[in-house]
Amino acid sequence: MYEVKRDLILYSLVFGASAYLRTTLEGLEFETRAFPAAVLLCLMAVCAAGFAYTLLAAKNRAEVKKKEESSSARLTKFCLTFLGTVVYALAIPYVGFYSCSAVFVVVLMILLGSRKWLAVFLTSACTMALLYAVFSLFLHVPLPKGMFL
Amino acid sequence: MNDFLGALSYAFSPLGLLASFSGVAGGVIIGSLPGLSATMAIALLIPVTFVMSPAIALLMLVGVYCGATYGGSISAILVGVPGTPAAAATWMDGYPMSCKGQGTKALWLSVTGSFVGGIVSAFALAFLAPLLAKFALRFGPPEYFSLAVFGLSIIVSLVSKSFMKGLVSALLGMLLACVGMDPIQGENRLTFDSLTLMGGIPFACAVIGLFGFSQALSMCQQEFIADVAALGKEGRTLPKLRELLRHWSLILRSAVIGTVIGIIPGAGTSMASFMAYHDAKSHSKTPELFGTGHDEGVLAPETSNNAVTGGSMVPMLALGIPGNGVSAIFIGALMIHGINPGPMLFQNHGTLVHTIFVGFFIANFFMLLFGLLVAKYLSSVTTVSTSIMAPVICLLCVIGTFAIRNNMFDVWVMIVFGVGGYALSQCKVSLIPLVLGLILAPVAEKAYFQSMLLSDNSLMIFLTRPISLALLVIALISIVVPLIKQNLKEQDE
Repeated sequence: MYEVKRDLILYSLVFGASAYLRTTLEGLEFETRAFPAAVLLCLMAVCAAGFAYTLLAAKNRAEVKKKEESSSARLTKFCLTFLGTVVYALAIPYVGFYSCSAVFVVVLMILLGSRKWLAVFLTSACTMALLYAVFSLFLHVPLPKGMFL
Repeated sequence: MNDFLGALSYAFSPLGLLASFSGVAGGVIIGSLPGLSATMAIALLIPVTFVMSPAIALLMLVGVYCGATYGGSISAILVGVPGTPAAAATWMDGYPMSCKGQGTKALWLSVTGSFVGGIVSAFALAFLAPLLAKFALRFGPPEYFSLAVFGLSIIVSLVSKSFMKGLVSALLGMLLACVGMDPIQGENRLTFDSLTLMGGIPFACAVIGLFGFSQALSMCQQEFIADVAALGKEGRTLPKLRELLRHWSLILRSAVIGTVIGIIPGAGTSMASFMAYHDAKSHSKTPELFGTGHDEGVLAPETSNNAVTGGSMVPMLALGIPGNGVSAIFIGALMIHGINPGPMLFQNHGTLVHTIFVGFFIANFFMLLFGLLVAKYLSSVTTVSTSIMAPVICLLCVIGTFAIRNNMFDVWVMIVFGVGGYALSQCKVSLIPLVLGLILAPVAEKAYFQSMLLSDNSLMIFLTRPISLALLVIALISIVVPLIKQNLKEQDE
């Protein structure tokens, strides 16, 4: 049942978003709106068909109870990685790329369960050294400097 | 003959060999880093070649091109993050192979496929350049539109498990490709008045997000990436050559697809990889194994994407028309060294042209050597704990997207695509059709409206031109045949 609900939510969300985006194309020249409008209409049609098909298939299918793997530890790790990356991307322009990245790698590794301190710091140091060699020394990419480096 | 001998003397001089090898090694490293493409590597290396003689500079640039095109597959196979957008096709079977503890084999297949593809395209470049360039010139807007339709028809064979979700994915990709200025009127659409979205969604950032960041998000929830038990002695042993020879017809077909797509200006490496993957699946005796870590799923796209390298040089050398971004930068590099590409290039600078031909052969041999030497050691990456890999992948995704345009906006695009890709993959929606939609929608839209302008709004233009008609017929076949096959299979079951 989880899969059916998931698919129904997916189709509904995409259908709703497409319907909204379709309204934003009003008032544009024909050549400008024709292609995205056609794509949006197809998307809405496919979502409607998918919704109906999922409902019909769910009726005809015997319910198989499946044990869902939804441990809170997995969710925590997902949130940590996602939020960690968002905070990291926000901090880069203010703190500086290298200092921010070194801290990010160490903190995220520890949060994800690494307990070998030497491995954590060595990984961080080696990654920074490699990135510095490739991006700063070799490719001369102007990375954000911020307050530190 | 004198030109050829002159080219050999440049290419096999110690400096020439060193330039070629260092180009290949640098290209492989750059290509394997997400976001850094062959185009960027060559553009950044041009100032380095100022101090070199033109022949040595060209040998180095050719080496970088071949190495970077192959390098994209290394990260796609080992950590599930395509180094280049074209490696997304390799990811479909390369990463599952790696997860099964067959990382060394996947890398071996990738480098040997890339080598054969590169050599076939080098032969095409050396012997058929003027002839093939004339064929490329016959591609007008109707042919491009039909080519895009053919490319989109591949989706049917890629999403055999859930056709409806595959279509949703492809249409989402096509919709995302519409963001920004339209190609005909230059008017903004779907930008929500954002100036940064006017240029559209940066493709490389989208691919890094969809495959790289979403991979890191999934990875952080598992304990290990690879099946460590399977990565025993057997997992680290290089396969036998006869395994490759078993697939000779697949390799040859993929090489031809790559070379032909490479010759067509603007068609792109990604399109070649996906077309070769589709071709391999539709001709395979075991199509159901595709996507689960199948040899043929790695060989076909890798052979094809390296076959593009030589093909893309054909219109550049014979006509002075760049076949893709890399050859456009090559034109710049040649002009910096006082050489004007075009029909007179063969007469005025015959030795240099032959140096490029020979350079392709040498670079491919170095690439094979490099790949075979490092494959065993690189595959160990797959046994590294995910608590180490996930942060490093996140870091590479961020720096890779930032480096493309030195812009933090691209990093946010990558993060949004990463979360979206993760959500879609949790709903069992394949991400590959989305990438195909992103690649092909702009080509289809522009070519369609140009064709309408040419034909005074008559759709017959697509059917009255032989190449366009042939492509549409092939597209129809590639839609109908998999559906019939699947229907028959369901009836049998």
